[in-house]
This record gives sequence, C-alpha cells and structure tokens, in this order.
Amino acid sequence: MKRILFCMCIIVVSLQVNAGRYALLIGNNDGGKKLGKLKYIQNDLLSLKQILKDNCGFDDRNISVLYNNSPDQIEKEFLRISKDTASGTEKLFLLYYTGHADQKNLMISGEELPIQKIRLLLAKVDASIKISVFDACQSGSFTRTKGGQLGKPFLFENDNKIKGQVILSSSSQNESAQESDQLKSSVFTFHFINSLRGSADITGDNKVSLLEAYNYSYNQTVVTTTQSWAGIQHPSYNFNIHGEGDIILADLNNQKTGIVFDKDIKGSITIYDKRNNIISEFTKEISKTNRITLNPGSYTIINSDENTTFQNQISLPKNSFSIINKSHLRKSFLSTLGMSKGKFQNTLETAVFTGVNYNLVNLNSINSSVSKSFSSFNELGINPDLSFQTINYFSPVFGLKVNYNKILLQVKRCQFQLNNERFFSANPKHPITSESYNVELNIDQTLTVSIVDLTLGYNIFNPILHLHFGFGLFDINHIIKSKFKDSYFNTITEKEILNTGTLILPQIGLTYNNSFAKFLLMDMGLFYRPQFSNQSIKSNGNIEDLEELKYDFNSLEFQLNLGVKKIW
Amino acid sequence: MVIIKQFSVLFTIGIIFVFTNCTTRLDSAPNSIDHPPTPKTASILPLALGNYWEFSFTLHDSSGTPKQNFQNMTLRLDITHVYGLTTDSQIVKLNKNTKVAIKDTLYCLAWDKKISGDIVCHKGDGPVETRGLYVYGTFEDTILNLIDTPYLWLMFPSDSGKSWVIPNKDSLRETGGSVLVNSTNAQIYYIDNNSQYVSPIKFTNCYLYFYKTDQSESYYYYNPSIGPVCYMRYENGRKVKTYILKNHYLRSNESLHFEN
Repeated sequence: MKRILFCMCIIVVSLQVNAGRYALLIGNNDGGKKLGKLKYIQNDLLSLKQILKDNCGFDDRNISVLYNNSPDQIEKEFLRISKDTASGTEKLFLLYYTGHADQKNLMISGEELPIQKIRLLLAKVDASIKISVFDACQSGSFTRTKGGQLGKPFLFENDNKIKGQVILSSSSQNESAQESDQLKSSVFTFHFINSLRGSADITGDNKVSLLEAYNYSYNQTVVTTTQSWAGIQHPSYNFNIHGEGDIILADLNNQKTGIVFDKDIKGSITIYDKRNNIISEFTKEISKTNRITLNPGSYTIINSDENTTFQNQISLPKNSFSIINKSHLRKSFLSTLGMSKGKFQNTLETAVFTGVNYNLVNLNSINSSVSKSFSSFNELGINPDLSFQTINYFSPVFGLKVNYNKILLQVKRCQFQLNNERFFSANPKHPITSESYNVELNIDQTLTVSIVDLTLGYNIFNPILHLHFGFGLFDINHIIKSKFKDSYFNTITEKEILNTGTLILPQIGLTYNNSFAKFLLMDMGLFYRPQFSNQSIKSNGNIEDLEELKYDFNSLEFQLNLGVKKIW
Repeated sequence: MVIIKQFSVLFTIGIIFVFTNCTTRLDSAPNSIDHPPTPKTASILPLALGNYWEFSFTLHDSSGTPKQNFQNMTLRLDITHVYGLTTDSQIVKLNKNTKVAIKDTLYCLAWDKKISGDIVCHKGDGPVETRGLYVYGTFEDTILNLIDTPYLWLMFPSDSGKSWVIPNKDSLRETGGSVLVNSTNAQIYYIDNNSQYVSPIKFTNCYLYFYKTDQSESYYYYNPSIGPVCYMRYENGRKVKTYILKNHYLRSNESLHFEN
C-alpha cells in the first residue's frame, strides 16, 4: 500500500522574525478511489500551525488551514491571501501541502490540481520570500530533484536582504512519502516540526536555521524509513534565493517553556507526552546543550546511549525551562532496540492478552436430546423441559499472538460453564389399583466447555484489521445428575452420568487491533463458528440410551482483549 | 381263452401296481405338508445358568405404610443350577437312592442365594395354549423334589384375558389359585444401575399377570428380554409387598450342569 502524503510545509525563513508572515496550510486525506485514505493529515496541519505560532513568529490570524477543501476553495484562498499581502511591506509566505500527489498534480478528493497552477497562484502572492513544502509522494519532481543536503557556503552570507523562493519536498522524484503509526504523523513533517522545536539546533545558539532544519529532517527521514516496507524516503529541495544571511526558521529564545538538555548528555533522545505520543526525538552530541520548546505538561524522556537506556518523567510548568543533566536520568529496563522509531511491518511482535468473550450459542440440540431421554416420564405425568436457561454468556479469554508483517498467528483459550437444575413432580394414579401416589424428578445438568482456538490472521487493512481463519478444539464435559422418588414403590434412585469428549470446529473472524503506549494493545474481534450438523462426542461415560446426546456449538462471539506486547 | 385269462390277470396286476405307486407318490408328493410346525417360542423368563435379578422391595404395614427397616431392601433371585440338555434325556437324582429320566431342561431358581428353591422349565413348542413357564417342583441342594404333574405357571406367548388354574397342592404357593393375563403391553419402570442410560429409570412394556388366591392378589410384570420386573402383592385390598427391579444380569444359555 502506497501512502502518499502531501505535506505542504511552509517554512518561513527570515532574519526578521517579526516581519509580516502568512501561511497557507493545505491538507487532504482523500486522493480519490484508487488511493487509500491518509490518517494523520489533520494532525500534521494542526501541529505545524502550532509550531509556527510558538517558535516561528506567525500570527494566528495570518495562518489559514484548509483541510479536505476542494481545488476551487484552495484557489479562492490563494486569491484572498494575495489581496492581504498586497500592502507592499516585506512579507514572507509559507505554503504547505500534505496529501496525495503524482509527479504533476496534487490529488484532492479525486480532482487534480496541477502544480503549474499552484505556481501561478503563488506568483500572485506579494511576498519577498516564498517557501513551499510538499509532503507527498513523488514531490521531488516539484523540486526538479535537487536532493541531498544543503551546502553550507550557500547560506552563510552577510547581506540581510534575502529574497526568492524555496521549495522543499519530502521525497525524491519516484519515492513514496510515508505516514507512521508510531509517530502518528507523516515522517517528514514529524521530523520537520521536531526540528523547529530545537532538535535541529546543532550549533547550540537557540536558533534553528534552514540548513539545520533541512539537514536534520533529511537525516531523520532517511533513518526512519530505512526499515520501511515502502522503501527509503529522501527529501529534496530547490532554492532560488537572492541575498545573504542566515535563514533562521525558528528562534527558541522567544520561548518560555521547554527542556534544556545539558552538555553531559549524549545519544538519542525521545520525548513522549502523557499519552505516550512521540513529541520530539533527536541525537544529541556531548559538550553541547540543546533546547527543546514544549507546551506545559507531563513528559517522559528516554535517552539511549551505547545500548543503555535512561529515562525520566518530568512535569513542565508554564514559562519555565527545565534543565536535564545525566544525574536526572535513571537506567531503564527498556532496551535500545525497543526504543527504535519508525519501524513498520517488517517486525516481529509477540503479545499476551486477556479479555472477555461474549458468546451467542444455540444449545437447542443439546436441550432437545436430553429432554428426549426423559420423555418417558410423560407416563407418570412429568413433562421435563431441560433447556439451559441462557445461551448468551461471558467467558474469560487468555491468549498469545505472534505478528510478523501481515501475518498474525493467534492462540486463545476460553471457557464457559452452564448449569441447569430443574425439579418436577406429579401425582399419577396407579394403572391397576387407581390409587394416587407421588413421584418427583430432580435433574441437575452442568455443561463445561473449554475452547482452544488457533487462528491465522491476515492483515487486510494495515495495521488494524485482520481476517482470521482457524479451528477451535472443544473439550466438553457434560454432567447430568438425576434423582427420582416414587412413593408407590417407595424408591429413591439417583444417577450421575458424565459425557466427555472433544469436537473440532472451524472458525472465521475479523479483529480490530490497536496499540497504545509502546507495549500495550487492545483488540476487538467478531468470530463465527459454523457447525453444519449436530455431533455426538465419544469418550468416557458413553451414553447407550436410545437418544444419543448431540451437541451443536454454532456460535457468534464478540471479543474484547487487552494485552502487552514486545517488538523484536 | 387261456391267453385272455392270463392277460386279464396281468392287466389287473398292472393296474394295481400303477395305483399303488400313484398312491405312494401322492403320499410322498413334494411340498405337501398337512400340519406345518409352529415355531418354537422363547421363555418369558430368560433362562441361563448365572442369570440373576435384584429387586428393591418394601414391606407395608396394615395401613399400607412402608414398614420401618423393611424399606428399599435388596432381594436377589438367581438361576443356580441347570439340569438337562435341550435335545436329550438324562438321569437326575431325586434323592439319595432314586433317579429318574427326564427329557426336559430344568432350571433352579433360588432367592437370596439360598441352596433351595424352585424348579422351573420352559416349554416353547406344542400347542400355543400349553406354552410357557412350568413349575416342576423344588430343590434342596442337589436333591430334586419333582411333582408328579408339572403345572403351567406363566403362559407365554398369550393374549390378554387368557386364564388358567394353579393347583392347590403346590410347594411354591400357599394355596392354589388362578392366573389371568391382565395385559400383554403394560408399562412399568425399573431401575438399571449398570447401564449408561441418561434417565434414572427405564420404562418397558411387559406382560402383566394377575394371580389370585383366597388370601391375596398379586401382580407380576414380566418382560421377555429382561425377566421379572415388578411384583405387587395385596391382601384384603391393602398393599403388603412391592418389588421393583433395580439390577439384573443375563448371559447366553450355554453352561449346563449334569448330575451323575
């Protein structure tokens, strides 16, 4: 499945952080019938908007966000911005697109918006610096494949006046741009936003330049997508800039809340929010400090260095930078392998889970055959109805699953027990003497069924839906206790029979799987067990009665499980 | 003349010879059976050495209430000995010195595994109204006390309504009486602890025999595949005894005991 993300990141590059800055952020998750829907478009748009406001000097009123709008609406917004920017002052315009695309067009809800048209609309915007970022498949064609890392000499010039146009794309000409369920974002956009938090500040001057941000995003995107089934993703760029000076993307000195990682910390650093979403990750060099801007709140910091992992949990108050050094971090049981990011389906994942089954089973055949065995009591005026009282019940589930790529092997066990005790009495008349006497019949049934299911699942909608096929082994214990009293013959007779055995039934089902945190999972499933004919079981306590007990476990099951997993 | 006489004699002899042979051929014509034999019928009481029946029995007092300590007791009926082959005669000892030749297979029935009891025999051929279980006498260890004229105890097969008389002088019963086939399809239940039935009791259809004497009225339920299933005895209109089958064992009719 090819995921095509179009991210249009508008990077505002200017020495004058407070110059007029405008941004148009466009996202579309539906590229039409042949293209799958994207998951994190809206999230990326909102995250980018926030970082532009927090770190990049954009005013909220000057940021337009269009989510799932039509090409006509996009064009209208361009024209509106063109009017707003017609005042003549120095301005900076940032265009960001995330969604589907091919080499020449943006794919918006089945319609095509040619890149050429975008260029024409962009030309109408009166801004001295225009920056366009496309986070989409094959968007390298928009940059005319100037890929790789930016060369340092180009950027470090002395003239303050910078004019021109920059185009950044998240992938090269024939590559896919990818989303990550782990990052909950498109890969390139995530790293780009992360860079503007301060992750890319390799000089330690609390500013993030275009060079730093792009190089950081490029490297992180390549690393993240190295293990991807969709292939490695190489961002690319095209610069048409006149003038000199550092192109500063974000100024962290204006921010008041965040974390400062001290000089004695080195290695990879990952920051999670309280919902275990990755907020920032970067590699820190020793002897340099790094400042990461964050919103107030609770965070978990994981630092991995040479196969040792350290962690800490921190609560950031408003308007405060917390300084973290080595002494603040404690060793963690999590391995560095477990903390690697950006892994996709080519991983082995094991999990144990527990949950509950809700079963709908039709036990009419059992009820019928047991009742038939006592039907002779009609002669005495007793008409026993021995139906199990309920056919809907909950049962606990325990299981293990192994997931590799699109294949899921699952073993689970559940058990249910039904009990049914009935009492009947009658006062028949003796057929010969016509005297009336009393008879009583008490029947107590217990049906215990343990089921072990083995199913093979195939991922039909990555990564959440699996279709399962397999078998269930039923271990059945059916105890029937009866007690009969007859006041004519003055007899009391008791009997207990045990019918045990096994059945194997097929099973098909559909599960929805979701992970949260690093090691927790939740899944829901719907399973059906077809049984085409009632079956008897063979075991100890075989019933030699004329009416053999037959079992029918045609059932529908709904399952809800929680578990812990490990990624290998 | 002489030739004509000779021819006449020869002709007569020839005619006689022809008629004689025809008669003979008529007598021995194939598939010509006047009285086809009636198939042999089985016994109402399965007879084989080792067969036994266990009953749960209760004695009742004058009000019909079960007597304390006489409720649900166990009583067992066994076939302890078999005398005779089915197709041959044999000599049996009546007492120390007396022996007699009999042509019937005799079975000894004993209650509570005693060494004494009754001798019965099954007759399954002959006229249908004579078929059934006969009483031949009593036994004491290996001594047989055979009565002069064995009498029919349980007619089988039979129709409902058939009756016969039991003679007075009988070691088995106090006095004589009459037996009536009350039903050939009477339903009764019994308990069979050995089998793996789901139900605690098993219903079966039986012959119901009604035996009436001066002192009592008794009901006997017999099933040809099982044997005695139930017994109820009434005296002066009140219930005094009830037997209900709770266990039984049947084996094939093969092992025989011969008396020297």
